[in-house]
Amino acid sequence: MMPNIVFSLIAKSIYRDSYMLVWSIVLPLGLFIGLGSYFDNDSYRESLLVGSILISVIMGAINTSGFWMMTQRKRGVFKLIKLSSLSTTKFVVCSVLARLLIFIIITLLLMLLGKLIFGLTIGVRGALSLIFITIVGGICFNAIGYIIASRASNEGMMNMSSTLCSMPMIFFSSAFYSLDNAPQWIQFISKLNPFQYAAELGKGALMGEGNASLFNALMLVILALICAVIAVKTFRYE
Amino acid sequence: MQTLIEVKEAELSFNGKQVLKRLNLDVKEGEVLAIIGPNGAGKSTLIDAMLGIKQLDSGRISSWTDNMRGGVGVQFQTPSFFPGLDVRDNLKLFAAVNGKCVSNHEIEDVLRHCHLLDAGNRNAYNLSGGQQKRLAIAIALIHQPALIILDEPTASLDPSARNEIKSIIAALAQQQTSVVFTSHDMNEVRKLADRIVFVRDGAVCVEGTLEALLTAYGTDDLDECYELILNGGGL
Repeated sequence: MMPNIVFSLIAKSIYRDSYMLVWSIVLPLGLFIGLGSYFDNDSYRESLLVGSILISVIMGAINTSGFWMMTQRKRGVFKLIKLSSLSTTKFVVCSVLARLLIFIIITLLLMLLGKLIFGLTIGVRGALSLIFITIVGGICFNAIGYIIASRASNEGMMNMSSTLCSMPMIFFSSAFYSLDNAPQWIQFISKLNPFQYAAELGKGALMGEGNASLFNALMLVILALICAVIAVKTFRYE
Repeated sequence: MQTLIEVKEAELSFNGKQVLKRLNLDVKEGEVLAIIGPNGAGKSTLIDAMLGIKQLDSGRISSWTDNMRGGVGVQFQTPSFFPGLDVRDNLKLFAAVNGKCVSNHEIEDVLRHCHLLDAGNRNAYNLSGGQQKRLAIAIALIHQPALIILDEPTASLDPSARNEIKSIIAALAQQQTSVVFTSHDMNEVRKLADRIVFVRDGAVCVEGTLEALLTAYGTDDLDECYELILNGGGL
């Protein structure tokens, strides 16, 4: 009973966040429909679908979630949670699950729009892969957002740090263009980039390029675990 | 009276500065205890240490229960609440995290007690400063804790909002609820506190009832008494 109340009210608080609405819903939907209408190419639209899903997840997790965490910390909410009967771990898990739920709904919506507007064919394997990158990517990017939130002392620093983190992750990936001809140093950075593994996994699943799927999935899970451990270690109550 | 919290020889450094220096303090059941002292004296750090949020370098803090979790209600200087939720949902959420499922009747009671009945359905973020402070106090009360700690509950508020919060604390005192509060408002301290503790440079330099302090310093003005203590007087 109590966990249900806690989860539903935390979720309500998160879903009423206007940043969430803009970064995780309006931006990816606009990006997918806008660019998808402009480029009449199924292969590109599939790639765009994966990119839009990941944009929704990374923006919602690093920028919005990180900002939410920092605000709650500054307000003393975590100190109150520490004094309450609920463990901080359960509280954080509730907030991550609430975000993952909305990310999954947006992913399903984007897939539906891809099918209805652009006639994309998304098989069961493709759909499951996209949900997988939404969940594991969501955990990874949420953890990164929490790490930044633990270090940021004010809203300005949080805004700058989250943007400086999320933008290079998007640009140094093959979500929207190929990195085959990119300089060596960008290709090296992309090997440490969870966004890149999520993008490759999603694109591979949609386009039937299954060879590297397991490797990409494994790397994404490993990076998510590393980020989650760092987020736990660096967590601050105040 | 049972001792709820006992602080013994507490020492704590923070950002390279020793904030608490062999500090001793006890909080008794049913009393309203005011902690006063200048800015930076260590009042808020003392509260954090009492609550276990900050760990002592040395010394000991014991409480009436092995696990204070859920047994204490706190209002910090910055009002703590969830901005996306209305006042009622905030109360429901903070009751739930303290293991209590509150009825609408209980919520109405707390809202009435904290003069927030009219604001119950408003988003907490859109409340005035005074209302946000009262919401933070309502959140501290909602799970009916054994001890309530209020850190500068009336700071930065207009006289009307101050009076409303004073009346909340006075009502708690009448119910024999244990309350610890910090304040810079000597009028408020005079009206509400059963016992006063003066913290200066991280240590308790004077403590006692209002009458005892005024008698000891030969004045009937608590503001004057405060200045005397601040300028080096100790009992």
